[in-house]
Amino acid sequence: MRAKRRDSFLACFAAHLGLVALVCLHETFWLLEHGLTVVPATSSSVWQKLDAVPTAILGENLAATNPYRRAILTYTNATGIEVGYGYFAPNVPETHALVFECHYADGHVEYQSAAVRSEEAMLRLTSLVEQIGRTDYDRWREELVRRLARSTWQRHPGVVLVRALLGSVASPTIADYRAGNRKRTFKCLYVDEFKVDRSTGAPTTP
Amino acid sequence: MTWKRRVTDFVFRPDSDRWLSLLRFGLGAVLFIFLWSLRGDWNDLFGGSRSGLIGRPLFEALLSIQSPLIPRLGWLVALGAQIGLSEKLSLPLVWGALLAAALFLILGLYSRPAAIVAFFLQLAAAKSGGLLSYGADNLITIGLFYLMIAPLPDRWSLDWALRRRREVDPERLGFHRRILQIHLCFIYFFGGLTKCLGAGWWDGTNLWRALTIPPFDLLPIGVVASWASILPALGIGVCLLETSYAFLIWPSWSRRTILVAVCLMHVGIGLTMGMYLFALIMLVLNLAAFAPAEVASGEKPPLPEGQTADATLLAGQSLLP
Repeated sequence: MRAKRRDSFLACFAAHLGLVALVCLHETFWLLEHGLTVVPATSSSVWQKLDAVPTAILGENLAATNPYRRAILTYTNATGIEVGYGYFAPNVPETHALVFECHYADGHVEYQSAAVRSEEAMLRLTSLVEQIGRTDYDRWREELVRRLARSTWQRHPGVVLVRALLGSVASPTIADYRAGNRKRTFKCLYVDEFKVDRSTGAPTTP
Repeated sequence: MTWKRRVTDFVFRPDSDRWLSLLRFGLGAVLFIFLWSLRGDWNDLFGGSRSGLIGRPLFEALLSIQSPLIPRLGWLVALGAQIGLSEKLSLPLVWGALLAAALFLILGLYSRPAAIVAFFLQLAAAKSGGLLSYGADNLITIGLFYLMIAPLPDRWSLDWALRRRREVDPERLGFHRRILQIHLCFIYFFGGLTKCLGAGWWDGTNLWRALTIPPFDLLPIGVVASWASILPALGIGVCLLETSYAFLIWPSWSRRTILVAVCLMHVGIGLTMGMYLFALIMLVLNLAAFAPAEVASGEKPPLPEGQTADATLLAGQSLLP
């Protein structure tokens, strides 16, 4: 391979893997900065200062329309390196569940969940419900739940009112299990109610 | 030897194309399994505002805020609409095109165009899936990106048999494998480091939770409880294995042990948590990156120019990457 070509390959190699490293560092510093690890929260300011470096290079402080930021985001998204690799880390949190209380015109009530056919799609649905459960933005959560409620209503056309119950699910701890407490507990966090609008076929907030 | 020479020698170390055969075939198989498992849900996951589970346009609108240039299924649906195809027809066509690309990759037929089509369509699906995507999608994108830019076709492909191509520069093959190897080191190092930072990985709590929360609770909770005494050791083992991977995968004395251990870990994740796709893609990437060349082919990889096998062994270097 010619030296010039080699140098250009080497530059691409360094730039690409440099971005991978920056994204990973940014994610790790973020966890440390927000006190989500075993490292004492008192060191938060140190991590915040360190995080300023990847944040600046990745252009995260720039306006959403800034060309540099967009170029970085386009490249990292297109190559699959836009997120870090902290799977199931630093800790495995409680999981979330979304249950729909479906009220029919004749007064009877059924409990349903958003349904998919395959196990692979179920993993994706779980990922979605997890993120709905973790969001702090009420309107975003309500919009996503409303859309899932609509798909549930489409499978059960007789429904006139859907009450969505979003909550965390806690499995028994090892100690609980040994003590004979073997049940999962559902702690309801949010309740959203949707009436089905017959003219548009979409669930709306009453 | 200057630092630049050292870096260049490391990055452009000559290699055979056996790893590329493994990557091509493995990614084709992973894509096929991914598509087959989602065949009944494809339109629900990626359908529009009225027909989909959430509605693809919502996630694509969010994607546009990041960058309007990131590929998405909406482009293909719009293209289909131009020639009178409804979304209900366009989406299965995309599924079919991706499946065809996966089969072409498995066979090694039109390897480069198949890799480009597979990369573009899989990326579009992963991005349009938005919050319905998870880690396995990113890892497939990473694998397909490296496959797409690698010097295809490889010698085990039908392309090679049907239209014999000229030999690919072994240095270039080594370069592309090196990127994949270092990327995997980043994945495990940071994955392991963030696990080490969580208290639950040191006392077994996180493994207990991971194995007992739905939908990963494939094993009966009683079985997991019977393992309670070894969960802390397993958790620490996972942390140490992932963090040390980046260092111990390189020396010849530890490479096979680390590779086997990491592959067993992924097999375990697949079987006990039902994350088959995630397990498969990690196995493919690991084997393509670090499996010894003679395991795949019974051949030894080419040596650096002007170097004999004896000289390499005398220099204390391994023939393996």
